[in-house]
Formats: sequence, structure tokens, C-alpha cells
Amino acid sequence: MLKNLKNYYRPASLAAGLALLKKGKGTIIPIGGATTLAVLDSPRVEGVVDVTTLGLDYVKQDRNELRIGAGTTISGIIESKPGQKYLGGFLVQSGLTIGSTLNRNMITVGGNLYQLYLWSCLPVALLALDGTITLRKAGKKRTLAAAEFFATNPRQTVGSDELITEIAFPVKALAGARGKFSKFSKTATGYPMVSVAAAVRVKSGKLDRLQVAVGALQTLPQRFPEIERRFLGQALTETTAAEFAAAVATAAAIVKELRASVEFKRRVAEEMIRETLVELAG
Amino acid sequence: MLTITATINGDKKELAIQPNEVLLDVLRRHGYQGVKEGCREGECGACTVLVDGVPVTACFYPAARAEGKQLTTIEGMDRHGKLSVIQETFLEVGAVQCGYCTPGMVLSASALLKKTKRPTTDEIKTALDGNLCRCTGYVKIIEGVAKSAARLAGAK
Repeated sequence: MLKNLKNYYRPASLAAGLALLKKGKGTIIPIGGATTLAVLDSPRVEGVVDVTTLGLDYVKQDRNELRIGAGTTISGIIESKPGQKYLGGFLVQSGLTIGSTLNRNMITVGGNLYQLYLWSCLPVALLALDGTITLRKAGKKRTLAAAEFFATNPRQTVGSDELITEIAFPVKALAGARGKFSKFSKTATGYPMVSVAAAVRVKSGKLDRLQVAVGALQTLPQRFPEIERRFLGQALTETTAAEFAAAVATAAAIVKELRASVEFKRRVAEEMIRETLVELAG
Repeated sequence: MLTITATINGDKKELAIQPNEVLLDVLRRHGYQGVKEGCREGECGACTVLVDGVPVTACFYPAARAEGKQLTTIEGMDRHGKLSVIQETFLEVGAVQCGYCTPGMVLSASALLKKTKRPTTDEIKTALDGNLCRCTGYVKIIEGVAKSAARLAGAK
């Protein structure tokens, strides 16, 4: 509960919202799906800007990209036609790994990226697919590759006067690719112990694209381009899938947690990656 | 203190709220006590309400965001003194034990059946996956939603 909250702003435009964030110098923060209001306990926060009024609720696709506004809910992505069609249902699989329907009806794209909870699926998806994140502040806009954005915690990357406004997934660059997103958790709605996002394209029997990210092993999602490069040009067989999975699982940083040992999570990650690749090869 | 205007169960209301309040507290303060307080962490679904027809957890929903919205609580399901088809069916099949989760279950089911006339069992499970019941084991609840769907479809 934000005990010192004095103002709840519902600006009618993005420009007005950004102006408020600039004016607040860290005392006014954006609020997306709203877990912030109920959970955050920061005496410094005196105002919140409701991002649901800023016109950032959209899912649009053109030849090159699928663009999703940061105010879009996870359910909004799952229920949108472009979201359903993208990479054979990749974004639907990804969204459904998050909590429950009630949570998905509230959690926004921007919050999912910024908060970077264990259940944040979009960071893993964006990193795997070479997506981008657009941030705006009054009069300025910058777009970062997911690899750059998730190199450090988003709390360090996003300025106090800045707002995540849009994410984009490649369409043209992944034409002909197959994708899959999965999680391992104790229950259907439980937080993932491991999540895996993958895209694969095979041309003339050889791997032309191999992009795999793993999540929930530590705060930041992880991807290993140097391992991916080693396997490009090879056939995607049960053997190469197993070798790739073992290499990634060995390289991955895994933090200790209550639910399972580091070694258990490493083994689960390896098996999930192997299974995913075998399925995508099929 | 802020004043918001929202339509609750079909009636336009002006509500005085604090900027940091969540909808759960405001609705209960104004007499909508069918909105149950459970975990306050968005996990149990006891506080489910419909906002413009979409089920959300009122314990996380900022009250100020409700400005101009159509809100439905369980009290809005039995207008005109008659239980809704879902409520009647829940009673008939024994989908209620202690009843604490029931308002949330009924509202989530109602939102599902507005969108999907004949949902599969998997679709029912997904729609109710944020509403926890510690008594029934869900079998009767799922049966209640499926039977409600059949009845509503048959009534048209």
C-alpha cells in the first residue's frame, strides 16, 4: 500500500503522462496492472500515472513486426488475432504460463517487463526472438534490443521519467520459423521453476535459425548466442537437440531457491530444451 | 479524497475514495459484501468482480481506475429477486460448500459464458483457474458451469 499517495493521475495522452513522470522526479510512478498499488510500500511515492488511459493498449502486425502496446494486458495479447497467429501460437503459449485468468486480465506488458518477476514470460520471449523494447520520455524515444534491455535489471535501465511504451517481435526475420514457449511448475498456475522460449528454422535440412532463451533460473532471462552459432548449419536431430540442451544447461546461471535445488533445475532446463527442439524439429 | 462515478450492478454511484485504495475495500465499505476478502495478493479470487464484463481481483484493482466503468458484483447477479441460471445450477449440483469462493466462481463463470456459449472442460478450468476453492475439489463447480452453459444455450 502506498501510504503517502496523494494523487492518482489518469492523463488523456501519452505526452501528458510523460510530463507528469518528468515533473515527479521519481515521486510519481507509472501504474500498469496495478500490483504496484496493492503491494509496493514506498514512502517516496506521492503520485501514480495510470497507463491504461494512455492509448497503449494495442496489438498490431505489419510485414516486419508484431507491435504490442505496453498497456496491453496478457489476456489482450492472447485474445488478439495477431497474437494468436504469431509463430504458431507462441504468444498464447507464453501468456498462458502466467498465473491465472484473473491475473492475466490485469497484468500489462510494461509491468511484466519492468517488474521481472519469476513468472514474467515476455522477457524470455523477447530475448529468444530478438524482440525490441521502446521507451519514451518527454520529447525522447529510444528502442533497445531485448539482449541489451535485459543485460541488467530493467529498474536500472528505465529512467524515473521514462516509460516502456511498446514491445515488438520480428515477423519477416522469422518467416518460416517454428516457435514454442513452455514452463515447468508444480501446478498449472504456479510460478515457473524453468521457462523455455525457442524459435527454430530449418532450411535444406540444416539449422538456419536456432534461438533459445531460458527464464526463471535467475532474475534475468538468459540466452547463449555463441552456443547457438556452433549448431547452425547442422541437422536438427535428437542428438544435436540433446547436445545443444546440455551445453545451454551447463552454461546457465541458476540461483538457489526454496522449491528445488540448483542441480534439479539444471536437469529440468536441459530436458525442456531438448524436448522443445525435438518437437520443433518434427 | 477523490470522487469517482461508476455504475455498480446497473446503478450509477458516486464513491468517495482515497487515491491509494483498492476496489475491494471501497465496494465492501459501500455495502457490497459479496465481494470477499481472501488473500489480498491476487491469488485466491474470492474478491472477483467484473469490470466492463472482465473478471479481475478487486484486491489489486485501483479504485480510482473504476471511474466511468461498469462494475458487477455478486449482488448484481440476482436482480429482480431471482437467482441467475449459474447460481441456481450451482445450488442444484452441489457446487457450494462453505460458499466463500462462490461469488468469485459465479462471476468468473458468468464472464466465460458471455464469451463462450458451450465451453469445453479445459476452457472452464482455465476461466476458473484464478478462483480457489478449498472445499469442493472443483468437480461440482465445473459440472455447474457446464450445466449452466447447456441451460443458457437451450434457453435461446
